[in-house]
Amino acid sequence: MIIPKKNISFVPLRTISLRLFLAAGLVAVFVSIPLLYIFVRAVGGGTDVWMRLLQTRLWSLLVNTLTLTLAVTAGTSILGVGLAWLTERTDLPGRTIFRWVLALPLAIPAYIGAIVHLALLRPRGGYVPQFLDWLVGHPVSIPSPLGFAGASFMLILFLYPYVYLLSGAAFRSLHAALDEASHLFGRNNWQTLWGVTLPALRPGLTAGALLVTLDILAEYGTVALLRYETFSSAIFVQLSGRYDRSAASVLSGVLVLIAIIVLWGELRMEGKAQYTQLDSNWRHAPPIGLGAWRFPAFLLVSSVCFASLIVPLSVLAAWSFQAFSNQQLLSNVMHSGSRTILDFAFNSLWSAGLAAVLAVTLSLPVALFARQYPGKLSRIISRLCQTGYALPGVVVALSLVLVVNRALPFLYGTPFVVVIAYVLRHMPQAVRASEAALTQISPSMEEAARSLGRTSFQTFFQVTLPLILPGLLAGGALVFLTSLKELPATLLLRPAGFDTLAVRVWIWAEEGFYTQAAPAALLLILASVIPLSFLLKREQIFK
Amino acid sequence: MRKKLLLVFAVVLLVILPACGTPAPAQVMTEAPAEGPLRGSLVIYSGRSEALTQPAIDAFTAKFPDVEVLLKSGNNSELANALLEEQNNPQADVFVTTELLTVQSLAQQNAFESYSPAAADQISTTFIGPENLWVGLTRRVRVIMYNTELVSEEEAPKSIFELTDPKWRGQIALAGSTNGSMQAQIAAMRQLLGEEATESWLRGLIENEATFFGGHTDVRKAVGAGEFKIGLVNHYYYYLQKAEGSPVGIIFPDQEQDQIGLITNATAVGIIQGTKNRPIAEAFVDFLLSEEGQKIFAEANYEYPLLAGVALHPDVQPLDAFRLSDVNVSQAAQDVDATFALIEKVNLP
Amino acid sequence: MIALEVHNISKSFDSGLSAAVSNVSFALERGEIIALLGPSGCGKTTTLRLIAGFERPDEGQVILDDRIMADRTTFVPPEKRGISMVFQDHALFPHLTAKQNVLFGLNKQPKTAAQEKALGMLRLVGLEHLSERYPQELSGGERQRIALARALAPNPVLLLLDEPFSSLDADMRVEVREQVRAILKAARATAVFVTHDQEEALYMGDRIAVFRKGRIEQIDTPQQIFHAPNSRFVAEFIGSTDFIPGEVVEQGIQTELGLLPQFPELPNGTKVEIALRFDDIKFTPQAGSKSLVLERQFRGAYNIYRLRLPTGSLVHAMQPHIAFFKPGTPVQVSFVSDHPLTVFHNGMAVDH
Repeated sequence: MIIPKKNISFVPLRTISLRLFLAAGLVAVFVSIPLLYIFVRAVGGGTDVWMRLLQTRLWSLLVNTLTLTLAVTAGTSILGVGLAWLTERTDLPGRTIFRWVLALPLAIPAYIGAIVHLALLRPRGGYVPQFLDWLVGHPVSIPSPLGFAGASFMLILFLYPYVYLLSGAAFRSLHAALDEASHLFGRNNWQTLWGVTLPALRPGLTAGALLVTLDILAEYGTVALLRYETFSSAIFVQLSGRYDRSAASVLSGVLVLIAIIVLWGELRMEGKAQYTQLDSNWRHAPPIGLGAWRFPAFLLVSSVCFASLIVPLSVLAAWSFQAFSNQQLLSNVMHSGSRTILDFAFNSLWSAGLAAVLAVTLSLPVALFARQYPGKLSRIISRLCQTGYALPGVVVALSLVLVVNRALPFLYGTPFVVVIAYVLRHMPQAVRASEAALTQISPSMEEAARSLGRTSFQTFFQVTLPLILPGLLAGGALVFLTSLKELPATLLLRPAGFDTLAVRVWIWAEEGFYTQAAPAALLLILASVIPLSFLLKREQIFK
Repeated sequence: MRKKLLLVFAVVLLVILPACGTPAPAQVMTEAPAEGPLRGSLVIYSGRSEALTQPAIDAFTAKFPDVEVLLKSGNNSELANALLEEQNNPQADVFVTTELLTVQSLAQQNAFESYSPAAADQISTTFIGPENLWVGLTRRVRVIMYNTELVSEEEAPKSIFELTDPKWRGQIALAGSTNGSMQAQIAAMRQLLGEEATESWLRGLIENEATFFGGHTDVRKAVGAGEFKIGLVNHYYYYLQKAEGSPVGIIFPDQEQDQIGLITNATAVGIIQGTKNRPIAEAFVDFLLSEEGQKIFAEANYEYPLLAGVALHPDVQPLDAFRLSDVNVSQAAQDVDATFALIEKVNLP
Repeated sequence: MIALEVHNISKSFDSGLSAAVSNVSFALERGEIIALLGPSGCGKTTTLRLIAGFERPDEGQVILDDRIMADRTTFVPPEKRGISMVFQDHALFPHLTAKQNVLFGLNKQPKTAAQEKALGMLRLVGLEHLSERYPQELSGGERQRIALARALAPNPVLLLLDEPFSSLDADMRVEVREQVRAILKAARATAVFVTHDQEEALYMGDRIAVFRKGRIEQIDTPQQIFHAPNSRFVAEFIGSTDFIPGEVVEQGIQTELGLLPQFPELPNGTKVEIALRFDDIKFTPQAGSKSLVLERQFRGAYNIYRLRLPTGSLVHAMQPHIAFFKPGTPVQVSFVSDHPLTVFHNGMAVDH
């Protein structure tokens, strides 16, 4: 049985705590720096820049970006929900294994997947066309992985796990009675799926689709590789052109605007529909028999696993093997100037780890403030902290170059700028996780501690923190995972000598040295599996 | 499950760790012992492909073992933008580019310190920037490479203007608008032929369904693999691909009397204004312009050394045999905005 | 001795999410239990939170043991008030065992003393054997008693209970509340108890304050509240009450059940309402009467009959469990005349 969530009102503990307000306010100021920077630069870009862009790129970029976003969001929604339904609600063979295998592509950055698929499918030069050529004896044309179709395909293939995970969780939490009620009213399985199950999934689906949408808006590596120009890649092109950043700022401004519109739309939807389950007498719905469709369904799920997991991993493994068996290549893989691949791995791990800790720490005052003093002010602060979603890495990096270089020159040129970029970019994940964790605990828990003689500080450390820690860890794991994969901001902000695995992979692969890039890519994927497995465990996919 | 994953991770690390322990084979054996007591670090921003820069750096550090060189490779303009932003808080000590437009523009914006390298008198003044703000390292020329299995030498285009011929439709690969060498070529053509002719050439390429890659390594590999028949590249990419055993041929285009001649370019280096490691930076520039440094570029990367008397790689055809176009670098640098405006106007990928 | 004084406190909220209170006053003797009773949104919980210090009053004073806790200039935070609270959801810390929960409020005492005290409290609530269990391993009633033990352990000046039984199943509620009242009385605790269940208030409270729209409508002993409600609202809220219209005449009050020999100080012809409880009226079958039996509700020891009077008014009357009348039976209804009935004029009780 599903009922609309009651609007739980939390009444202030006492008049607004100045310290908490200041802390939350400072965090809000910190996260709005890039927004402010982009706004100032975009507005101050001058009419000639605007005119030039309007006349040349802006419209085609807008169309390119929006069509890709729509196509991939729709594609990932269909694929993600479909896979979640098959593994959670049907008698699909091997569903318990598929359930977590299907989530694993989350550990593979889309651009690494794209590198592999590009090497395989590139017209004429790719392994597959060459093999077909050899097989048939004359050139065989296969669909090109470049451009819109290829970019959509690749992004759907590597972004669907967002939707898959979130809607999978929703499927698992559905009460059997929901289906039973629908059947009693005379609906068959299909009608129940469309009329009852899917609508009930909407919150999870929306959240997943939102992540995908914002990810595509910010996506750089994949679209650049596949030569499909969107705002994000066009900003890089601008930076590779004239010595003037106003055009890049104007493009960033437009991109941020699109993302903010998307976020705003999502917030409106979120406000309208929130469902929760009554937990008494909760039962799993029994799996639906696929009948004759079992085999085709199995084939579909297997091919998704094949394309998004097995192909990238085995190609990378093969390349790595090649690299390891050649002395010169091996040396290139292991050493890059005075640095070794272990340095890169270490850089990746500590910068992403520090970013995770910082993002979670900074998200706490915001989440606490939002909960203790619900109102316009706290809503604004909380929303400001979510705009990082809407800021592509390039934009964050650009703003940090300017702001940090002027205001905190001693920080500039250190890896900490990279860490700050990760925090700004991935803060929303931490804020959402912290807010979600806080809603899990009843305000009376803290009031009980207060009434038993604890100050608000003591209450936080003795009661609130231990209770929300698992939720915070999940948020941290998410920040860690996405920071590991981060590319554009790292490319721009890394000090000389501070390369992460992601940057290494990109630099090598961009120059076509795939075998050289493969071991670093594998290492990156392995490192990503650690936070991912933690998240999957929390989702109770591993039992 | 997590335990298993951690185990896998640990195993991979165990495999990799010993591999890291093996010393990197020295790229170039240095006969001379370490010279000065130079110690410290040197930060290099480099627009050159990392693989084409690292051998020279390795040789330099072999010579000065107490110097730690930190390299940040990227795109010329991207790094130039960073240098301009960092002017009051300099991070880099030297900047290496793949063409002269960027160094010249930066020189005009006071990004460099003047330095006359030890070998200055053995380098043509064409390749020394005004007030010694930058100095050229190597020269490269823009050539056409083709796949000999798909195209015969007679068939192959002899002028870059043949690339707009519909018979090559969809068969041409070249680098896109973010590539420094391509940008420099467009700037040169603007100076040699004027805006309109350059624009129609670019539009012709686009209409001819030419494929624009991010860099030339992709181009040479694509032509080498027969993915494309024709590629427009810097000359050494042909030799690098040839060295991998691919069936490729080279055309030094536009040699007829009424044609523009070979478009050439040069890599260059400048010392960043405000560097805190000036002695090391000077040593590095001197090293790159020493016989040893120039040999690395010439032999490992088939480039034309700028230091007089350094031999070419035996496979490389000397430039004396060719008609070269004449481009005024300072002028081209002045016009750099117009060049980028043109790139945007034709919407070059 | 006065333990708690609440003087004219008022509190309003911009958000409208919480109920406002205005001008609420009452005092509490040491060892006394007061029940704040009222429908949801009446301000009783807000009053409790104002006493606890989770809210600051806009106006008025909260005085605890002669110390000012809150007024215009003073505000003592909750942790400094020496008040304990039992929450609606019990709010046991899930990361602590039952005993650790009880120990939580004893952190200022020496370790051994605290341990002994905690064990003593667990014994008092009869759950010593479950001291190492975590809250999620306890039943609702057990959690409720642990919450009580935790609240009582630091010897609070005042114990606040916010709908403590509402999360329990109905069959447990009666049993648990008997235990809780016994424990409170054994601990000689001074307590403020919030509930919307009149039966619970009548049972738990030494006195009851009935709230309506942020104000106290009546504050009195349970007996007085039940027998002498001073407004129609209280009579209605306390339950099992029907109302019939009447008119003041020379001989008393004229109603459709006949003349009621009571003489309110109101001019003749004034319209009034008379509150009727199940035992205030009786009926006998009588053919031709215009009053009818509508329904019988069997309550075991007795029957409740729903009757329709000639004017259409519905009233309930109690009959012994052996008295059966079929629905549709015409009956003669009359007052039971062994005690005066409460009469309301414009919603307020009138003296007689």
